[in-house]
Amino acid sequence: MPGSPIDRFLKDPALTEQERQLLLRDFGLDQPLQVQFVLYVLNTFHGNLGISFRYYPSSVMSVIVSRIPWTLYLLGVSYSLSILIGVLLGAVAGWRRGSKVDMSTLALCFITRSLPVFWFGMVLLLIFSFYLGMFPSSGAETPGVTMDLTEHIYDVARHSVLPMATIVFILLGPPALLTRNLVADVSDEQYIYVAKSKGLPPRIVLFKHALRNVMLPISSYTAVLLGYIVAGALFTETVFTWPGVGRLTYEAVLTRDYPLIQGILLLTAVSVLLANFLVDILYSYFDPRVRHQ
Amino acid sequence: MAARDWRRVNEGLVKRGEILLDLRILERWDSELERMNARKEGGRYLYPGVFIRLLGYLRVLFHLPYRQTILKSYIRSLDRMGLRENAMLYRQILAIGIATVLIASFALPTQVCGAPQNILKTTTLLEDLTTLNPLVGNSITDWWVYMILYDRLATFAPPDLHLESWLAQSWEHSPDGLVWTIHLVENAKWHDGTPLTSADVQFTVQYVKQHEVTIWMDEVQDIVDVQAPDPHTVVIRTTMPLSNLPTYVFARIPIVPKHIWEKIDKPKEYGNDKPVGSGPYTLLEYKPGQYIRFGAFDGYWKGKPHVDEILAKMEIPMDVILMELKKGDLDMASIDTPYVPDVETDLNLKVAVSKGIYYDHLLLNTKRYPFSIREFRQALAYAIDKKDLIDRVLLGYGDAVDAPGGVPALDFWYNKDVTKYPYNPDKAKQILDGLGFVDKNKDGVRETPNGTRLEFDILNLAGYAPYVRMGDVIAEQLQKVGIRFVNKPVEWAAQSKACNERDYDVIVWGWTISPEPGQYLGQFTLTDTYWSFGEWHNATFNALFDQQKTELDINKRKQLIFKLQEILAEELPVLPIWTMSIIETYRLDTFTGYVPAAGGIGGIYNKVTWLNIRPVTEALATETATATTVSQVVEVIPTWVYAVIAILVVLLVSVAVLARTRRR
Repeated sequence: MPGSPIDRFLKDPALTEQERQLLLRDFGLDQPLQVQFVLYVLNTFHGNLGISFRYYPSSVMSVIVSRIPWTLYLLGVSYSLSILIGVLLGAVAGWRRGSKVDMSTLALCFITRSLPVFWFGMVLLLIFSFYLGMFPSSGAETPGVTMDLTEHIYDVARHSVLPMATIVFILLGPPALLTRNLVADVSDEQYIYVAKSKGLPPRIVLFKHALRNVMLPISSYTAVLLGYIVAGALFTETVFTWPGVGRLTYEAVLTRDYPLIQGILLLTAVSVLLANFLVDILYSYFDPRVRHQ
Repeated sequence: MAARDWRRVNEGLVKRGEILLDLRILERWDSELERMNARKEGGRYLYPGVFIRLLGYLRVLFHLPYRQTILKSYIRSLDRMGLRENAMLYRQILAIGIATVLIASFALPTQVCGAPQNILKTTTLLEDLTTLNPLVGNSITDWWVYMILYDRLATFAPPDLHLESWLAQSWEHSPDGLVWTIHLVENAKWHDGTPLTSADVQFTVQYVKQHEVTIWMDEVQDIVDVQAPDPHTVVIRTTMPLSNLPTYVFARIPIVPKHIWEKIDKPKEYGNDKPVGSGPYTLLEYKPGQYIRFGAFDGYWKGKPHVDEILAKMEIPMDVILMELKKGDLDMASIDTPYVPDVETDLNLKVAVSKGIYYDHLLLNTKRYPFSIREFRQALAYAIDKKDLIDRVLLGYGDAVDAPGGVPALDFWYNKDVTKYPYNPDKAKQILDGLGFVDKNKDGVRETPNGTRLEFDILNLAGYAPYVRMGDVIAEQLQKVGIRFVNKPVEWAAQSKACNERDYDVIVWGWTISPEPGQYLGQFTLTDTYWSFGEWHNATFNALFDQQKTELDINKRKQLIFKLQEILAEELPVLPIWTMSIIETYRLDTFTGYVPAAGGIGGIYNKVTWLNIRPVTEALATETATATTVSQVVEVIPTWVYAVIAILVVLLVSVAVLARTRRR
């Protein structure tokens, strides 16, 4: 990546050459690259991800930790909701393939997938925050007011409705489409036919029998998605001024804050791997065939 | 023969059997159904057993067939009488109603009592702080925060940022200029109540030197030592007479409390989470990436500020800033030019335009031919129409700069009489012809005598619209005189790399002109800077610069500075273009007392504003207000609309559910 790490500091004309050398020394950037690499790996195993260039002298860990809870909360809830609603929609659509429900669900999926996130967020902001005044227009909490726990929870909930609605709406598509196709495939199977013949109500057949068998691919999708919670959602966080990791990454890249970028990427990679691992374990609960291996 | 029990026979003829017509079947309809379906496999029962039994009795009693008469007609009449209510339906409607109320209740804002009313909400901060440590942080946001939290010995006062005393009530220097005596104010206090004394000033300077605090190293390098003979007097000795000691040191270095910082061994690693400063506001709360809150310091030596709190939100997108200003969630913010017409239509908002102190210019690589020829540079200057640029790129919100190293806003240090190059394309062409740069092959672009075309790259910051547009317009203007500039927006890192390696023709660049004039001018005397200044060096310039460095008489110094600016204007290693005006907006109905200054009301040097602002009501009580507090008719949706919407939703949903039930 072009750009030396301390370039950002030197935007300020007041920094003389002498001061620049001091900065280089502070960051250990005057050491040879191999030395820097070894030190970095050793430090990482101790949980020390280095010092952020931009938020100097705060450590990378502390910067990320200050923002992660917000991201986990926002994306954890949004992604989960989007999967729940998406799967339900897709299941009903796939069950009645070709019907009006199916067609309208498909249309909905494609529309939501094509909408730009930031535009949709801004529209929601305009309608519900500006004109109707129902929700606040920025931030994750109302600043400066001391609140007890319940008031605080309520306040954060109010601030999260619009960003969550944006994300859920935009992310409905993939799980819905996936489930729809899977359910449509499965509905031709023998065991579904038998269940229907037994006189079981369609709702039971769909949710108890058909859906259970398509859980595997849906779990894979869930795993990957949940792994990326740590990475944040840049557009949504920007539009709603949500103090999350997405925006942090963007700023880190802009300002060439290498330690911070590396820290976030490392965390994301670990998170995705963990999520995948967890789902592998969950597979054995979903699919008895796996268990008996 | 046995006698018959005639009584029993008669009785037996009267009472043939018993029929129980349990008319409570309607009440028990649903519970009976649920009980019957509880463990059923397969399809559910649709009618309770008691009902079927009743139908059976009716058939027997009235000789009615099941299908035609009893079942259908009976059911229908029950429905008509509305007696076969489905309790499930009630439950569904109730659930939907509760859900609607819950959602609608989110519409109510958090009602919190006891919040102080005088909170000024602003977003002059467009990005987050880097740190709360005033000896480390160096971004614009950092500086603004430190200005609020910490005091300095002197300050730059509006409207033109001239130097004024602050913590240092007065100062004088010895005749040889090597010893400065500063008299501090006597009632200044730190936020924790400790009095501010000369020991703190002495400590600050010594500490910076001792720990090699990077950003202030240059400022203190010519200070030999600092003495504190009594609690309110500071004596500074310097290596040579320094004309810029007041402006470079007094007005810029924040004074930090000795009793806190003497315990800090590693200032660069110190986060300073609970800053103790001597400024007009204390830090109440800082949420990284969200906001920072300042509370008025009642022990402030100049008097407690008139607002209780300043809330500075950060990183809000410009559109949302507009929205919040109109809603009243923000009292003051800086905005971009395209939004001005939108703001002007709102009667509650006022637009304040301040002259800028950041000047944008073209950096020319004077080591490269033909930029090494002075007349060529001058021809370029004649060919650039600054007024046109300002009108088209900045929509008129800017001022042309002619004297490199100064800006019109900093009036005292700006030489209005430098050599100017008013837009004159014919003169430019004349000069170019005279230099031998003619367009021999008639392709619209001139060539040098040895045949190379006058085609150059102009680098600017991609993504920064004013610079990119400037590049476009300048290219257009220069095309008219036969020079081709190719506009090349590049990433910042790529640009600084080109700068570092001296591999460029022209760069669009900008620089803050400090109220300390030597700060920028001094860059031209340095031989090996990271920022190459076109590699232009001039012995006369250097000599004059050294002279002004030690000239303690401010008026004589001014003349020297003016001469320096004149040399730059003649030689043109940089082509000054403009300074962008700062556009800020504030609400008229909440706070008043914003003090305009060069660099903006919320500029990093303008401290006076934050001491002067007060709530509008307070001001009205003390003066005859001319500000009309017009409560404009803003489109507010009244509460009854919500109620109507909620009722409509409930109705719609219940109709849908009912319709579904009926179809059965």
